[in-house]
Amino acid sequence: MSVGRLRAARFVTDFDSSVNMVRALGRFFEGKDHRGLSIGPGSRRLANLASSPPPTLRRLSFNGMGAAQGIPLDRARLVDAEEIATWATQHYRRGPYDSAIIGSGSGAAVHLAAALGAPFLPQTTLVAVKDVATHPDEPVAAMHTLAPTTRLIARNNPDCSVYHMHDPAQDRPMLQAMAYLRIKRLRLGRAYERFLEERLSPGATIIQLECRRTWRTRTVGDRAYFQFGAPGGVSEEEYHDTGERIAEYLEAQGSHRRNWEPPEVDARRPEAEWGWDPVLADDIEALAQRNGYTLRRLTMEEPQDLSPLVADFHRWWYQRLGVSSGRLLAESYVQWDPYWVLRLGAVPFWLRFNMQPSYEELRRYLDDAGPYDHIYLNLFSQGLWSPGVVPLEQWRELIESKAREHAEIIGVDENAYPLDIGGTMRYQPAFEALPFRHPIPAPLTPEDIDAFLDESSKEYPRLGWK
Amino acid sequence: MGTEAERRKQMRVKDSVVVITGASSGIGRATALAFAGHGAAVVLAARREPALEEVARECEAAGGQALAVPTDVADFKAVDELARRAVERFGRIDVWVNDAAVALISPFLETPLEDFRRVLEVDVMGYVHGAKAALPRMKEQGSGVIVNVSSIVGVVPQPYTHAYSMAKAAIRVLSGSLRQELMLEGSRSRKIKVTTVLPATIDTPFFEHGANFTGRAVKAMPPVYTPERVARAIVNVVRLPRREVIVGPLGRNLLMQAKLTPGLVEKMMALQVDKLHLARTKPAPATDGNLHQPASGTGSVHGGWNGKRRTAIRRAISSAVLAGVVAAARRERR
Repeated sequence: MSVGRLRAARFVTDFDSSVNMVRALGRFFEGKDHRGLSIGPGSRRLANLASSPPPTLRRLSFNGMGAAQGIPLDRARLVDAEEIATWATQHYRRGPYDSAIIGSGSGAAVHLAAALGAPFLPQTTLVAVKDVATHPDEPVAAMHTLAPTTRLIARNNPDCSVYHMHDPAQDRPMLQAMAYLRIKRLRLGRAYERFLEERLSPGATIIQLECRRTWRTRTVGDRAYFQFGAPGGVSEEEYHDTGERIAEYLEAQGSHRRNWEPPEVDARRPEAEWGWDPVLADDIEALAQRNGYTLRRLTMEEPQDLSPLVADFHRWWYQRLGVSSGRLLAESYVQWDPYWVLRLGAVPFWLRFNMQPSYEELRRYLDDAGPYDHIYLNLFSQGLWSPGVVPLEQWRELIESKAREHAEIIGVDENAYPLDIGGTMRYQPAFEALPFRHPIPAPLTPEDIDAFLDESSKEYPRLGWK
Repeated sequence: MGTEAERRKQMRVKDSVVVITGASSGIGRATALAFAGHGAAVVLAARREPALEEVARECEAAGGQALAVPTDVADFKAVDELARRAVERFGRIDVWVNDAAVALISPFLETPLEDFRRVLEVDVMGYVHGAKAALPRMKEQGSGVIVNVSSIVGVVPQPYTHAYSMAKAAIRVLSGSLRQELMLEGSRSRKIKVTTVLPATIDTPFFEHGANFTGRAVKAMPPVYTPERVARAIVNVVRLPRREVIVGPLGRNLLMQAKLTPGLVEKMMALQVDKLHLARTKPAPATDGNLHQPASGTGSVHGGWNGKRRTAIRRAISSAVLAGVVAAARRERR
């Protein structure tokens, strides 16, 4: 293993969505599951042990996890997006692949990629740096304090932009000891170019996955930006104009603040984690033309918009295979597992998080979709009751009201949630314990998406497939 | 202390007139208090008037007379006025301590040129101005001591503090040149002494006040010594002038190592600064610190780096190790 790959492995963040897409798919192509986010064990016992201490200790453990994920500040100058890209490509077998997906992160896209046998190359990856100097509720100070590091990484990576993302609602425990710096590629770079040129089969299809979600940002340097808040339980408006609900939340968190005062914004830019920066499109188009690849664009307004299509696509696929399509497995954030979804013959529905918008998305889907016999739901724990977290009881009511035979929340310690720190070790054993088994089917092709959409009577107005 | 001849050579600190630049905080402030405690009249110079007034009160309480003259040492007219007012009030200048300094820590390419120049203006030209203002008065008197406070980083450079290290090296050279020139001038000028003090890391607010473009908080790199230790060294070197005085035994070791293995020490220093001088978990905003505007407040001697406690711990450990070595040696002999 090269020094660069080892270093890149140290620089990426284990709970990052893109990193988990790469790890899950890399292992899926080797016939392996995504237990323990592909870095730890899948073990109910260990999970229960981790979630057994009192809430205060569990909260401290979440803080500690953040501290452990951040790289020391003296290493920030070594962050090399090209090494991270190489690290990503090295997760995939030699190929050749008939298709590849490149672009925005999405848990639904993990299942789409698995169905197509397509590797995923992320545009954005998270690098966390240690930060014990800033307070989660002082965004202006946090922006200024991290700006030199944000600029440093941007300067050292001229093919990328860097977003310092600061979200005291959802990421509060992590922000106690680290800062989120998201690196967004603006050029393909040598590693991705080589991968696409050498590992795709002649005439292969590149699917450009574009999430059009933008967010208010502030420039802190050349290709360096600050984003306050992120999609989740608090609306973009509420981050910038806090009210009673945020005041109550801050009081409950023991903060000295009762509101947030984010810095002045200067532009809307692609959302730091999920948003697609179209600057990258030129390189992809040129590469596709050079190599005779077909380029398809899959666009979505919000990261979760792809979930209904991917769920229905699997249902359609299972019906063609003669597999029961009556089992829905709803996964959240990075607790996905393409291997077990296909082994169980389950229809995957990805929830971006455990917040109200994700709940509404699932409710809307279940209202519109044909009925499911079994609905299973797993929820990610982020370490606190942040605004918009939906209680388990409400989730349960939803799935029980929609399942024809059985509904269950699985892989969650209900007494510990949302401080279920063992959750990342528990979801895969919970999936594995479900009583269904099927062989992994042969992969589909991008043309099958066309066929599915042609046959489907359903509209996906927030999606584009060109 | 010393021989009779040495004793005769010693300058009397009591009732002497001592001008100290950079007297509002850190080493300068500790030095002012030390001289005042020995009964000297101190003329205090720095940019911050409220801080100087506070130091003047402390010096008077310590037993000396004090005059506060707000001064930006980068401005020669202001420095000359400082010398004029010292002579006007106390009749002469026996000691001139050049200590005023500003710091800038930054990757070279990120350093604004105007900030780089400002460091050289204060840390080099400030000393030049001090010497130029003091020497004519000392020559007239036929005696005097100029103490230039340099640093061990003027001998062993460190990364990210190019301007500061350059300045501290320049100060050492300035002292040497002045000594040579005074020697050549003949017997009257030979009674004017120029000495350089090279402190190691000292527990002062200096690190907090400096300009910083590294993105990382600055910490005092261990081992940290007290400013009072430097002040004592300055008082002693005035009593019995020497070319150079290093403050802090580990600083002395470092300079010795640098003579023997310069390449290795250079590398070690680079790594130490990266790991110990700059925080690894505490980011810091870009700031030009007190380069262009003085820090607010009334200043202080210490910077909160626990120099005294650390020195006590070091001494305790050294004593314990020494006792252990002695005990082992005795047992071996039996």
